[in-house]
Amino acid sequence: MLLNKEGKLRKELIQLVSQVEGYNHMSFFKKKSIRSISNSPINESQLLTNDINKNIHSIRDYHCRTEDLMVRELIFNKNICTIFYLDSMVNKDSLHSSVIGPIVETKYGEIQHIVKTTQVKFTSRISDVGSDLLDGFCIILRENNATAISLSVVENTSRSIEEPDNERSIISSHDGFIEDIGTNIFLLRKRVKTPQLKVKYFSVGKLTNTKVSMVFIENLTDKKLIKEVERRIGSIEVDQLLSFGDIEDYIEDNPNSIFPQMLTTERPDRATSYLTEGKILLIVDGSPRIMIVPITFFAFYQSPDDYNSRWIIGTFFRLIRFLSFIVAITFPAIYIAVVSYHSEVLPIGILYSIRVSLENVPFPPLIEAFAMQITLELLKEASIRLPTPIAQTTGIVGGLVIGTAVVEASFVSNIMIVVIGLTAIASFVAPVNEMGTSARLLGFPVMIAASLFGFFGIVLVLMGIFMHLCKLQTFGTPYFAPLAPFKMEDIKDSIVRLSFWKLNSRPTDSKPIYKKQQWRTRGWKNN
Amino acid sequence: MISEKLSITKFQLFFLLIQSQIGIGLLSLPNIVQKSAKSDGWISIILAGVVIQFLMVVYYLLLKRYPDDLLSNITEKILGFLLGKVVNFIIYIYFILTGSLSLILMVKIINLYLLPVTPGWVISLLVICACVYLTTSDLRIIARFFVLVSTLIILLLFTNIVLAFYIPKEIQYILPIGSAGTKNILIGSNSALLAMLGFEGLLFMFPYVIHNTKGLLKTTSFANLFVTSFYTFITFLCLIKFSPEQLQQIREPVLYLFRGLAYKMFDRIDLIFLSIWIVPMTTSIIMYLFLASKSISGQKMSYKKTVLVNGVLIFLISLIPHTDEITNLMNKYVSYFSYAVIMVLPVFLLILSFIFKRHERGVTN
Repeated sequence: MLLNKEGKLRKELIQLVSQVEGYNHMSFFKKKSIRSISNSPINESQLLTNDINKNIHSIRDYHCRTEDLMVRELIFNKNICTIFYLDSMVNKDSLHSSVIGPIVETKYGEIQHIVKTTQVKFTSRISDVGSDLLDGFCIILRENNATAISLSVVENTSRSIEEPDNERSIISSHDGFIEDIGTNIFLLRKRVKTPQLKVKYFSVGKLTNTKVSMVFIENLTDKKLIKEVERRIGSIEVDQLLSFGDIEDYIEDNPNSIFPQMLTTERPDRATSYLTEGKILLIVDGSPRIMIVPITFFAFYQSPDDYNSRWIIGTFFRLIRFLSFIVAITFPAIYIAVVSYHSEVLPIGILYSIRVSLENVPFPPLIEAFAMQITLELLKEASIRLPTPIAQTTGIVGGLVIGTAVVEASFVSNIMIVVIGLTAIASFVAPVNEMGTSARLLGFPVMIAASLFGFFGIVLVLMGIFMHLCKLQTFGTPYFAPLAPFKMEDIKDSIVRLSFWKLNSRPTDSKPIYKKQQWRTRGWKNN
Repeated sequence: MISEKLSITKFQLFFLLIQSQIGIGLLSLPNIVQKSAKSDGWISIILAGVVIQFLMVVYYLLLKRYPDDLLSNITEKILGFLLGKVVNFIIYIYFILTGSLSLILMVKIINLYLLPVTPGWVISLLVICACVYLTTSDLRIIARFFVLVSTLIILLLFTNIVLAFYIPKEIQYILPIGSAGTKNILIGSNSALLAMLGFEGLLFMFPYVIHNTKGLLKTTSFANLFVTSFYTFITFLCLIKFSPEQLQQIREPVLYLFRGLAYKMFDRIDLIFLSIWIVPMTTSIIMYLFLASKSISGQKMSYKKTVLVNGVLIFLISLIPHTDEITNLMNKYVSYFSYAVIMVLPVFLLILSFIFKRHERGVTN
């Protein structure tokens, strides 16, 4: 007993020491990284002074004397005042019409009252002035005044709202998110007009200072979930955050799993539908895809079109898509297993035609399947980035010419072409491309297992995949819900889609604060 | 003691029980019961179900008195520390042996039907890897997986019911009912009971069930009813499909049930059936691995490591050459152990706990 106690004590001590060391370690890195970014001689917390010339110098130094930092001097209230702006970040027209124009014309008064900008801020810290400049503000320094005025004259060049190419829909709305974070939030707010829609901003990346926003519905989303997402984003300490993929990698639970654990979408209608389920949207400035957390496996097989067609049709297509997942994973593997191990499963007629086509093929079926699957990936990868006319040519050369020739040269059996073709089509069915690619990749281990152990291998690998799906948790919610854990009430809007008036409670996988979402739907019938 | 993270619902418990009970045993069950009970094999299975129901009640009464404890804690509480440890070790050995036996039988059957040339150790290694992968996670996730794969059992049950209309049947084979005599039927239910093992998992899952003191007996009874009727149905089907002479010679009659049926797309439905049946067989092994690990995991070793060690142990035992003599011998020992662990021990503990009145209800941990 005593020994045990001593051991425990020692363990605690070691933990304590390592914590202290870890702390030192961390602070060391922090110091280093700060040193590495801020080469400017200005201290982070330095304040403006009454001396305008000194202030001008400090701000210029803070921006490392960059040459697109423009300075213009004006006379106002018979004093000199200086306007700073980053040439590249401001809209010149609005700078002239709403800041310089009024100042020059009025000559007397309070600057904050005569300018026509939407946002007026007072700052006294040089670092704040510097970051305002980066956000597209212009800064006005006045003589004998230690506070600067920041006025928003931001230049906003973003492309127009278009339908996303990779998530086209037939009958749903045709707008899509763009690179600008403000427009994206506008698209969301336009659809969910409630004061409870809350936006929280984070600035991530010491160099890039990328704006990341978290959008959720305040009294619906699980408080624990909000805290957890905040905690994870807050813990990111990096130099650059360039796109949504970075943040996905930083905050997801199982980075080594093949299954995507965040739904990324460019469709506002899709994003809003998850918003009202009590999920959180993450928007990164500069990427048109927004992330939805937490998400379940089945969300990747849903499309907004399901809700706009009749429920029977919507359900049918959902079931077809799940079938496509199974087909994409197992179809080539089953073929390999049947051909190399269990040919007795097939009746003699089918077996005969398969055997005939295999007769002259010199390779084992696994090599055949791998070669064709990889050829297909090559074709896809080649045609994706080429301009459309050339991509079509690749398709024709690759698909038709190579496909036919390879069979005629009897390198590959024509049944294999059929199998691989079907598999590829099945994997492209997934409405979210990421999941389709994952399914296609998962096909490879299943094929290997099938060629080594036949049906037994297929079943074992499939079992492993489903075990993995059951084990996955994203932000504390099970990934394979509502099948594991099984929830009957959630099936009505995940695996199938029932009529809207049957969906009185929202899906519970993200633990919304209240479940009911509909009160009177077909009330007219009772009257 | 039991954290919320580990808790399972009664719905999940139902599937945990049926998944651990249904497994390798079914495939050869009709052949085994037919050996002694002849054409009354199906009565033996119903009898075995009744015995299990009786045991379930015993377990329930015992566990209700210690709603927060695993069986291994209960033995220590009732029998004292030292004796409790010894008994717990016997329980542990029983779980390991049963798990190994299921694995050995599974490897044997896969070698026989699906992969005749592949060495057995490769198959058992793969199976045990899959088992360890799932078992290292907590009971909640095991339960999720079991519920998920139970769709396979239900699917197979329905296809069996549908296909049963198409196979040639001869009701004469089971007539007259009761002709085998009571003694033979009882011997038959003895072997049927062995094929239905797995319900003792309740002894280690009970404290994890949410609201475990209310309505639990109903869940376990339903599970037992499901398994018993499933087994009886399949056995009955085999008994009327095959003549007694045929049945004696076919080792896995369940696989041969639909062999004669050929369709346009598939021949040899037995192979597809067996491939799917790999999953229920594996879940039984997972359950025994879980039970073995739960029964000895204490403060000394983390649960994950225990699972790993037990997995290796089961794998090593499965390396023993799979001759019929050895498996029969093992079967015999497992049956002795099982009587000790699933019957004698709980009844004994229940009686002792009544005598000493050492129950813990109302004590909150």
